[in-house]
Amino acid sequence: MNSVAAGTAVGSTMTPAAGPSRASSTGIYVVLAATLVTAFLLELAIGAVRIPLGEVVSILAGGHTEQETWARIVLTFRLPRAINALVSGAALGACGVLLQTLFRNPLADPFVLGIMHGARLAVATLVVATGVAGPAFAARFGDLGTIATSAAAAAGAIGVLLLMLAVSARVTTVTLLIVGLLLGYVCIGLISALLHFVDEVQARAFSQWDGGSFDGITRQQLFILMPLVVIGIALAHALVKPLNALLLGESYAATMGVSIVRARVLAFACVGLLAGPVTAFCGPIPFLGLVAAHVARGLLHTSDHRLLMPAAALTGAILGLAADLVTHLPWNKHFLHLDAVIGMIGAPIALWVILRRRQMRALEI
Amino acid sequence: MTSRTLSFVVTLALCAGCRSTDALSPAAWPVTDVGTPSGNLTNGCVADYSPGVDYFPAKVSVQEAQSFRVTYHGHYKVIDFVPDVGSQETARYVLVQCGTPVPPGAEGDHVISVPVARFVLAKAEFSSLVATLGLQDRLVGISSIASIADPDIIRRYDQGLIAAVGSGTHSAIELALAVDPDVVFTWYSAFADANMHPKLWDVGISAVPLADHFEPTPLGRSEWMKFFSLFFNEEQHVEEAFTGIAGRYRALAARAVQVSHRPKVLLGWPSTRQQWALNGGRNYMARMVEDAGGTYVWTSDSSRSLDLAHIEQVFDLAAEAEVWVGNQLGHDTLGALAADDPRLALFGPVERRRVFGNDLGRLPSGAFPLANESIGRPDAVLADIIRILHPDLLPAHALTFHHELPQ
Repeated sequence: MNSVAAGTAVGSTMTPAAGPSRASSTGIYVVLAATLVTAFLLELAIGAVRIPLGEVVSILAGGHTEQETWARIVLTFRLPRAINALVSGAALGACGVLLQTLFRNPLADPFVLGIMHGARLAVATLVVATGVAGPAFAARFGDLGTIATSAAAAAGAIGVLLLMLAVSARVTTVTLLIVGLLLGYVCIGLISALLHFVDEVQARAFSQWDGGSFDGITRQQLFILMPLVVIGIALAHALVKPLNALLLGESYAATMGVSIVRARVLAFACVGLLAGPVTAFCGPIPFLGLVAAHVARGLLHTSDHRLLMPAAALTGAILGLAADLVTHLPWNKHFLHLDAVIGMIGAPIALWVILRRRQMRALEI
Repeated sequence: MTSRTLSFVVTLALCAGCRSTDALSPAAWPVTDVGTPSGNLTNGCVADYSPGVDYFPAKVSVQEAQSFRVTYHGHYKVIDFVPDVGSQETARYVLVQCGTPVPPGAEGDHVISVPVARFVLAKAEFSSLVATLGLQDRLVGISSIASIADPDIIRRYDQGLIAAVGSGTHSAIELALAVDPDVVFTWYSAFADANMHPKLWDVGISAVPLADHFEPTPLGRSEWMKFFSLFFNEEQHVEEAFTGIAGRYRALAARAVQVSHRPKVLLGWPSTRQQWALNGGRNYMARMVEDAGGTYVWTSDSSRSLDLAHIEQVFDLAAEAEVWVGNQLGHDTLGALAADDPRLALFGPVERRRVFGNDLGRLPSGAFPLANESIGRPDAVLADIIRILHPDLLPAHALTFHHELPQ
């Protein structure tokens, strides 16, 4: 089963490692699933307002609660946020694996490659084009605005990916990674320039949307987000065979009958499908995809996408919930922002990946 | 060449196309013999300085404000800026009557010649005082036109007589330099890095932070009118105005003292998806709610400033609130509020349909009168809140700054 995984890895930068046995991988999945459930329940139980655990359980079970406010806090504030963290985290985890394989680079993820910045640029363009943002946007366009924001973000993400796809035929995978980084910087610059054309109120509204957070997602947005992520992860899972073949190198994959272009296009579409809506509804979430892929790979000691893809999605969901939980602990003063929490976790892991690889230390990828 | 002059020349070169202003330069004040003046010189310099003469016969006395003190010393006055907000910062300003000597011992303080002839106002809350004190032709810069609701300032900005300099950034400092002000009034933050005044001091500009928003009482905040007036020798005007304001405010508050029911009030607005900008429990607005015969829902908090609270926490606080006063996000109806964030529809005051925005008269830019006028009109703000909480106490009062959000 692990014929590909054993002795292969993401690009030349990965250390070949033996895959897990079926029993151990099953055990890891059970642990991941249990951790996910625990994180989800903790996310519902812990927040700025102290609600007794028994009350939370009663609320979730549809029973009586001592205070009606608590029921609303759990069901209206915490539950959508937890579902969003779970779904978006899973999406970004899957994206991390996809991009690291496509670029054969362990530092690839939707944030690093500028894909999220592409989505941000598209939403900023939408704000400028419609002349409104934030409350006014919602008031004027309602659900259409939600769909438009989501579509714009997905289009922006796919736009960056298409540019990279166009370039990919001419450059090496390492260069392509740099192209992604540069495209991200271009997007950041264009966003800044675009925001000069809106007034301060709109710019403030955009910046509110732009602050990465799982909070505040509406039911309508969840109804858009969840199917897209399910489809995206299903598509990602359908791509595990060509992705495994790509681990052996494009030439070798081609000799195995894998259409490299088709695999890339589908994988890029998958990333757009996953990262676009997540960015639309949560803002840019840095590092989560990168970290989830590495944690999953580290747990399973394999690069076999049949095992890795669901594990990365599970790990991403857990990380999303855990990071969000940290931001919502009842801190006495001030807030820990999601990007700060993920950055505190993600940046050390990225550093660890760099320092652990001799090739990357020497920039000889 | 001093660093200030060098910076000014460089900035002028960079900003060749920048706006020009018609304000008087300090040297443009007439220099006259005043002898022993009967009033403060609001637009002139002293030619016949004589030690022992009181050049500020009109004085202010600070009764309510806690963040500054002022003392008079014949030809100069000293302001001690002592914001008690945990920043540990103090500053002393020595305001010297134009045409008189700088007092000995003032070398380590910020010495400013008064009356100020050119100034930048980077705190829109004081903008209504510009017209009140007749300073329109001395205002050469603002932080942003988007925060200004005063039509006269907007007109002068459109005519190129006032520049928008921004706030806090290096470009803001360059732009402030370019309009060559005598003083830049800035917004004071308890977080040192957010402040613009130290950076302006570094380049030789007299910067004066305004910290009215940290005052624990509305009248204390309103007394910052006096602080502002000191730089223009407009003490008489402001002292009289404040006496009237304080009298009206206290009279209104006295009417609300005996109310039998004190409705719980939520203040602030959702600032992000997860945060609520909420007046601290020791903020002047908390006191105003009490003075209006209400009970603020966050009295357990000890902050003086506008603070951030988690939206979940505010939802819990608001559960029993009868009224929400202070939404300023441009919502015209409760429907628009819910469209923005459906969770808001579940807040207690929203369910009770008792939501009042404080952005009546909002301009397309987002500026609204309350944000520009409340320092000089706390009595009008209090009257609004009394009318909202206890309509029977002021049945004839039409809301000045607030508007109720209909369904």
